[in-house]
Amino acid sequence: MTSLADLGARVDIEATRHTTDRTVAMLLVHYRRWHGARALGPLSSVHRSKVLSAFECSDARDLEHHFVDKAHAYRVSSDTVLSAMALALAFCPAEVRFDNWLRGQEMLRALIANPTLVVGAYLAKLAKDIGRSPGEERVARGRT
Amino acid sequence: MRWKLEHRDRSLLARLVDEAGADQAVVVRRYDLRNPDRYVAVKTGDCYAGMSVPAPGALLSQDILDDDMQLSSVFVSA
Repeated sequence: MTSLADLGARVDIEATRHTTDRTVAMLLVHYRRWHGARALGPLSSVHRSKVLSAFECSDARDLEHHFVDKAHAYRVSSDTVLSAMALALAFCPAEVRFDNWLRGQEMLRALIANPTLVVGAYLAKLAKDIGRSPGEERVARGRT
Repeated sequence: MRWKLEHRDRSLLARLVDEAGADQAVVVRRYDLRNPDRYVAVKTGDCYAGMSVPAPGALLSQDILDDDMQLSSVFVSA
């Protein structure tokens, strides 16, 4: 580190701004490289956790539109903010922030009252994790 | 094959060490911490000689191009 600014270095996953099947496959390859890396140097595990978290949250952003649509189509929830919150809690709970505490409590109550939505979000996370099996990297590599 | 970290003139130097001396074909990629889904290819010779890792750090990933396609990587926080 050369300054305190490096401690809070912003991590930017560019690929999620124009996602295709190929970019998702490549994101998984990059994620696996970061995930399996040996960490060396000062604060290396802190920095690496931040990168892994950024990848995981990018998964949630990729899926949000589809998840909200499906929740609406299957009449699980028509509240887009609530559906997005369920997904965020499943993928990157550390990134969830409530600007308004009362509103946050209200949303959590709504989530507790809608276990189907919550289970759906965690199933989406599970499906994404299963997609990260070691074989996936070989498949993605073959496409490049 | 492994990465070795050295301090030189207040900066960190990452050096690839081929302990087996097998002289295998290697592809090395460097991912910057700030843009972890983008990489640049690094010349293998530079890796053996040692290359500085700019702050806040970078992932160095090497693929050994044998039949097993061994992949390994190290994250260097600088």
